[in-house]
Amino acid sequence: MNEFPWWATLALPFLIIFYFVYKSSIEEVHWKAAYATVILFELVVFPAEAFSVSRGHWVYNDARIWGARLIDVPIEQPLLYYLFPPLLIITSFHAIRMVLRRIA
Amino acid sequence: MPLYFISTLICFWIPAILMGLVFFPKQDDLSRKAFWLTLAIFIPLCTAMEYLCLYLDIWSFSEKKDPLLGLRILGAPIEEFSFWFGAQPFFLFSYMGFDWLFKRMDAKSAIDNRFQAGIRLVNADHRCRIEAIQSNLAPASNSKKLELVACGVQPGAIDRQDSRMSYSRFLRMNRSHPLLAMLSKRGIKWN
Repeated sequence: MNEFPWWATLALPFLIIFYFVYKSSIEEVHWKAAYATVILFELVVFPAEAFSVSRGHWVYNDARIWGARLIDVPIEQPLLYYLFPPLLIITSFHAIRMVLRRIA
Repeated sequence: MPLYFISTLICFWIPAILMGLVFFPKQDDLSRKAFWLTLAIFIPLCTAMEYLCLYLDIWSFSEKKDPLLGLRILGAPIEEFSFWFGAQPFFLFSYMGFDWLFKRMDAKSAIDNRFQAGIRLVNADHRCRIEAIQSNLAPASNSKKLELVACGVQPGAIDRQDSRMSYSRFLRMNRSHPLLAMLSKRGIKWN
């Protein structure tokens, strides 16, 4: 396979799903708590990932990432993967809760 | 040492279990069902994502410094699943925890606001009463003090109260302060 930033590209389907889930659950989510969760996740995972990368637990393929790194961690991680997955899971949790409430 | 596996336990599983023990029982039935359904949706999704990443050769694993546990599921080390599956309850329990904390802080702030409004009202009452007493009695008269005590007010006690003080701080300072009885007497409820 040629050089292509697949790691960032793989976030696109999640971003599209997130947009729709976000629109449906925007009123239900406690946004202050959601952003606090993202900040906590960034604070916990960034040092953990920097450690893991330094120890070779993950060896990123340079041909599959944008290239910019922050303490050896690909920039996609703090920009995309530490931000959207927690929000996607939280908004999905509320969307599912709304559906369950309608059914009940 | 299998540091990768240990790091997933320390970062996600241990905090998630501890937070879960505290915050999951505080959730209503709908939230509990929604929690399990969210995991039921995202666990297969994350599993698919892991295999897609391995297929696209986005990352690989080195055992030069730290060994892996050695268990693999269709070529993916078990540590990867420990990471993916641990992160999701970590997100949801952190969110539940912050939600509980912020709501509690908001409620406390509402209690403080009502309490401070009560203090201001009692202070205003107290000032009116002092003015009324001062207009009838000589300033140096001991009767002023006696009358205030008869009204349930300790002279000077209310004036010393900071109207910006929080209810909890007030309680910490003086649990038996007559101001509490005065607020109750006036029908002022703050919690």
